[in-house]
Amino acid sequence: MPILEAKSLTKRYGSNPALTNVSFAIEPGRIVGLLGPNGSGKTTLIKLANGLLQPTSGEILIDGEKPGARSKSLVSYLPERINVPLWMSAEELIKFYSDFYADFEPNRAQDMLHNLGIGEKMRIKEMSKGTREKVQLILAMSRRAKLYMLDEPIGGVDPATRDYILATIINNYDPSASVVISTHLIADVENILDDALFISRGEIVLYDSVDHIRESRGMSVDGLFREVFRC
Amino acid sequence: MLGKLIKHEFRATGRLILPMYAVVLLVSLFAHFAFRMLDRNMPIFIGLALYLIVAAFFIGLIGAFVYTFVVMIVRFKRNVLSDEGYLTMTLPASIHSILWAKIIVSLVWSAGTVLVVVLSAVIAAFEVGWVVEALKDLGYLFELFFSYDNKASVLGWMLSIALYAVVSGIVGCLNVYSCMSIGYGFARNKVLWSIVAYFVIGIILGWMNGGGLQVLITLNENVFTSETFNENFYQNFTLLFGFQFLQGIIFYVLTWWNLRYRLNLE
Repeated sequence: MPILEAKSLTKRYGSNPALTNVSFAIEPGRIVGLLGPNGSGKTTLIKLANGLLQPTSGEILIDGEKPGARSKSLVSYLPERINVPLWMSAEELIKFYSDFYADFEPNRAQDMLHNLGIGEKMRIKEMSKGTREKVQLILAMSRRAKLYMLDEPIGGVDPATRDYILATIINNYDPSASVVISTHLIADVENILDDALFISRGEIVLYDSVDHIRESRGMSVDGLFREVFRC
Repeated sequence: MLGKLIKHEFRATGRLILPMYAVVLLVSLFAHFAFRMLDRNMPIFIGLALYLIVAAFFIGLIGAFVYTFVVMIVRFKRNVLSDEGYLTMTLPASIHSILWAKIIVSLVWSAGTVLVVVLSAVIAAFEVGWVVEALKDLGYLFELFFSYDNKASVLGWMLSIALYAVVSGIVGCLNVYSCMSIGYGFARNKVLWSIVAYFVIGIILGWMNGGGLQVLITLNENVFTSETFNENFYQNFTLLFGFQFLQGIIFYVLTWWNLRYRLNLE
């Protein structure tokens, strides 16, 4: 059974279409790049999968179920914004996650914080933007989730931090789980992807394995992206 | 899951409410001494300081309620309708649980604020003449209650009023939540739309309340004479309670529906 499936999914904001008749299925154990320019509908798709938006028509299923309390226990979601309470310390956030997510591993989170030299007692509001993003990523990747949905995890960070984030994703996800990474920085993520899902103006324009793209088109995913989305 | 949500809700709001309780109680202690020293001959600057303490005490009593209300609103906005909403609304919990956790905790803090304000008043005015008299009157009321033949019905009235107060608290809380959930569903001017929703709902409720009173008056022409009100306490209470309950259901469904289908996080 696909871990994430969209069936004729459409989302409109008023009369503006954000997603139009989108259908795809992501099988377990895949790392999928959700690739598209700004405003293409990537975040809308991720929000729909997390139950933060409701479809105008069609449906989106997580492990065969519509988004709800159960699906939320299966998905580890990293939004593009800082979503953790700023008054909390990293230590308090670890307790918070341990309380709500049965699959959260506090030791893993503590180890990663320690490796990065982030004090557990430090409050989020005392941290720099980059450190906050790292803490948020550590919390998301310390879960043994079935599906990780990472919305622009490397957007707006320096190259060294990008490398750290990608290494954290690769080293911490369960191989039987799937990872969906939304980004427009293709070159940085290309090497870790199994599949690429191109989205443009709310429509899926390509969904294929990265290997097949390279073989059949004779170019990298980044090269294909530049060709498809040329202005 | 509700228990965990309530626990974290208490932690998040307690860090704001409990220091306020401490300040109000501390000011009431100062006010206690200030009240006693006001009559004495003092240098003008000390007299002025005493009056300032007394003023701070009275402002604190009213401010405690305002502050509790503001904390309730800000918490809902931050935790559900702003960036933290990305975390709160993706917890493996139903919207019902999230909503009830906030309602229960707001209700507990509101009751706590009432208790702290009463306690502060007692501390500030302790041993002052009217408090002693009030305590005597309270004792007299208890005596009267225990000498009254129909204790059960008095107890029933008191419990009914307490229940009505709890339901009214929940309805008041949901009134604010529903308006915010409406306002924050819009793409722009979210606060403005919330205020507009509050006034529009207030006007509609005003009409409904007028209609409710009309029903009571029609059912019982002498409803406002105390004798008749006592005789028909439960009939009138049921109507008032039912009306309040109906409002609560409307606000609850509105809030739930908006969070489920119109959630519009930035």
